[in-house]
Amino acid sequence: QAQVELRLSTFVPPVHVIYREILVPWAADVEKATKGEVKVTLYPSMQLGGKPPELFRQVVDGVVDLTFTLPGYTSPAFPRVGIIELPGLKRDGFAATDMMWDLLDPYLLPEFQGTKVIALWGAEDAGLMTRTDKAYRSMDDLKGLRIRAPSAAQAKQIQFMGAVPIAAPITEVYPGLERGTMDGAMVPFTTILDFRLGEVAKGYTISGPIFGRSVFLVAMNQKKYDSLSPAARAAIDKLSGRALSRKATGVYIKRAEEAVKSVRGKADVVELSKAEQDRIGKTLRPIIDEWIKESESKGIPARDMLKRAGFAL
Amino acid sequence: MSPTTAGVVGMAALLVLLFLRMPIGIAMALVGAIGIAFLNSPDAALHILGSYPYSHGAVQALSVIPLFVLMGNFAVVSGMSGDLFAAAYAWMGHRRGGLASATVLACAGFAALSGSSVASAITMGRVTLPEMRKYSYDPRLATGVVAAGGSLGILIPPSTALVIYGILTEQSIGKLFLAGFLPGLLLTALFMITVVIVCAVRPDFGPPGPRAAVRERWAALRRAGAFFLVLVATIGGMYAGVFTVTEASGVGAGLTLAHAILRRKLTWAGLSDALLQTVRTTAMVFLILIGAHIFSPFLAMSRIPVDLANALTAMALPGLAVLAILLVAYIILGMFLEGFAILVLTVPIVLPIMLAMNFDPIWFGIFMVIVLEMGLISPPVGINVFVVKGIAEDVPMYQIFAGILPFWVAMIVCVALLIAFPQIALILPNTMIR
Amino acid sequence: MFERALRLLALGGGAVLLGLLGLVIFDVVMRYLLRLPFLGAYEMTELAMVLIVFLALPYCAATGGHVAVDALSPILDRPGLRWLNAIIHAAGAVLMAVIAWQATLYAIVSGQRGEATNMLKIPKQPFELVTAVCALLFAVVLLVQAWKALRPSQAPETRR
Ligand code: NA
Ligand code: NA
Repeated sequence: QAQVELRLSTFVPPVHVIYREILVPWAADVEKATKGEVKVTLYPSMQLGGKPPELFRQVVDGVVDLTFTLPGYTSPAFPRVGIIELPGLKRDGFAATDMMWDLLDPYLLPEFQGTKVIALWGAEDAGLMTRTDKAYRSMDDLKGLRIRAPSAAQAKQIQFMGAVPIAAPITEVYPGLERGTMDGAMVPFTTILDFRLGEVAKGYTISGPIFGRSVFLVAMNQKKYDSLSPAARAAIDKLSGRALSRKATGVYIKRAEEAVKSVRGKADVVELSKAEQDRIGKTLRPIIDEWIKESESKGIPARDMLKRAGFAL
Repeated sequence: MSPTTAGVVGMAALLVLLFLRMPIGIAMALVGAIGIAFLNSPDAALHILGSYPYSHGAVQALSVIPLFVLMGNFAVVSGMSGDLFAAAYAWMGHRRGGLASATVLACAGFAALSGSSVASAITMGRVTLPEMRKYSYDPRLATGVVAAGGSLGILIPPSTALVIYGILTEQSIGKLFLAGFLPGLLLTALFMITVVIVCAVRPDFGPPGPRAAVRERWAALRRAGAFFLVLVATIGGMYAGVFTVTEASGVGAGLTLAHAILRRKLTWAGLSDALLQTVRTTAMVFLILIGAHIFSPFLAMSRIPVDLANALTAMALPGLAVLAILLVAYIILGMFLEGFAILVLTVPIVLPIMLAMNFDPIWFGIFMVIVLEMGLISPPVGINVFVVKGIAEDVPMYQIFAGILPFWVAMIVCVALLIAFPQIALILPNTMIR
Repeated sequence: MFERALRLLALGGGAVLLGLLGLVIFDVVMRYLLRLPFLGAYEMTELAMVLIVFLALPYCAATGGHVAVDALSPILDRPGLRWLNAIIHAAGAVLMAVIAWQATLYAIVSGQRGEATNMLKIPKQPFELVTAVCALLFAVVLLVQAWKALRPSQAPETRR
């Protein structure tokens, strides 16, 4: 068998937890399982060029063979996958990941056309951080504050809570909080370590599963996959899918716990009470109805999807 | 042909095309695309040619380039920059090379509000070059001081290069900014000493002017007040957390525009001229950036950066020798690549080697940035030099490089001092509690 | 005539830059005075950058603004080497034409996939087509320069 090289391009640097604990081992496993037939070369930090939002299209068009990216970078192209950004759908990251795999066939697959989905998983719970010494203890603390939103869907959630959303990529949160062009940010807490936000945020609100989640994707060019030998395809199939996705979720959740531990004692870290979580949940509920209406106008079976996801309408 | 050979051939081809006067951006894109077609596939190369020009043009963070250039152009229209240099001339012009020293200081000041070397070189170049020319400075000294002084933009905080380094290496960006401060002052001082030495050797390079009376000096300083107001509003706004860098650049351009209007200096012809100049300079910079972003994936695929790092680890040399080799390697890379590309391509590979040898990662970040600065002004691909060339179009490129040489040596001295006394970079981040 | 048209195009880019300046200041003022941020400012800046950069690209080329290394100019300006200068320009023209062609294909697929900005859902296709058209104009400028490089009556061109 001739050796095939697969190039994986991603926006994260090599120190990123998913790079170290998921991508590097996966590449090694693939090489081993295919007995050296397939070799995966990793290109972190956008070394192969382009901008992060183009990574998915690069895989579809075959410029690179594999990518680790966020569909949320180009949310208009992923209206169905966007279900995971709805507030409070699932109790934790694992449940959200399972939901995505339950929905994949037939609902989500059309949006991944041209690729083979290797892994697809939900992030840990999103939380709130602030540059002031006092963490947000209730929704009322957010009134009128400028809060960074990770996506259009989450911007809406911030607006519903009475705050002013700021659309900015994750790399701008550090200077934003440091200089005060933002009062706070809605982020998954892995960013405390991965983007050094622990240095500039002084208050942290562990919010529970009430906000939307980011979703992550490892995808492979379909034609490239089809061109591999049946044995290699079987080996890759075995190393991909729900199990790998759950493992990635676990890595994130563990990392988030470490991250929160790293700021405990140095900053004001609080947990939202159950009552406050319910109150925010009720405030955000209309967003789900809006999503259903908007999706159905595009011909997306939103109600069926929510039903399959186990969400009581 | 192995990927490494392909990479070497590609770099040689780039050199040939550059010396045949192919525009730099086009040459890099051409060699990069052919190299990608070879190492990946022709389809991939075509796709990249179709998409990267758009993706590397549509960059929000780089909007500071046209906005800061516009600020500089409006400052020229309103006469603000002329006032500033009249003041600088009144205070320092009677010394040999005084205006060049003033330019270094002004660049350092401007670096405190710009995170980018290119923006610094463009803005300060637009402001200072015509003035130095007016006062009969040798074009070599005038262009050299601007190209070198502009490079302070990524050492003196804020710095886009340090932000990228911090994210690549998981180091504290705040500590990196603090660490860049003293070396930035040191390099500023070294540049001013360089001006003095150059003018001592070649007195005709920076002719002294008449000595201004004390009252005249203060009057000149008052007339330059508007410039300081703009500077204070933008720098102050940034540090007080009122603006982001982009916003500061916008507010700065808006204030200089307002100043030009208030002074009744703005005509339709002046406005359209300032706009045309700005977009022309912007297009010039971006063609190079786009070319660099098509060339660097090719270099990444050649695996040359990875091979270099592996070879270095295998040799098991003492720390100083490794630093010396790295310095030489980066100077060579800096000849061909844009600073950001060098960071992204090499830091993830080189930093683990440095850590294994007990070098401080914060210190290494500052070392990297100064070396990147050297790359910015070294031939044949020196972005700051091209920027200066874009402003001083009649000065031949080799003259600019000749003028830069003494400042490049000053940077080597700075690196040597930093190696001998790492505390220069580390004392602030290690003593200031965050 | 052609050059005047390119100048107008670049001025269009300048107008967009003025608009960007207004947008940035408007965004700051709105956020601080009225606590109403403009969510689309980020992506509108990205799109404005495309227009600013690309509308000025052919004008920059036509006015000799693109930077080249001129260390060997005394040799290259010899009449015997006209053909070499023409080839270098022509090679650049070919590259730019390929970019125009590929950017058009990319934009077509972009439209089919419904690619748009995240917040305001502005379609990206028109902006990608702008890059294609401007790259094509750039190619034309380079072809004209290749032809001029061949003409013996012309004084050696001063290149930057
Ligand atoms: Na700076
Ligand atoms: Na260089």
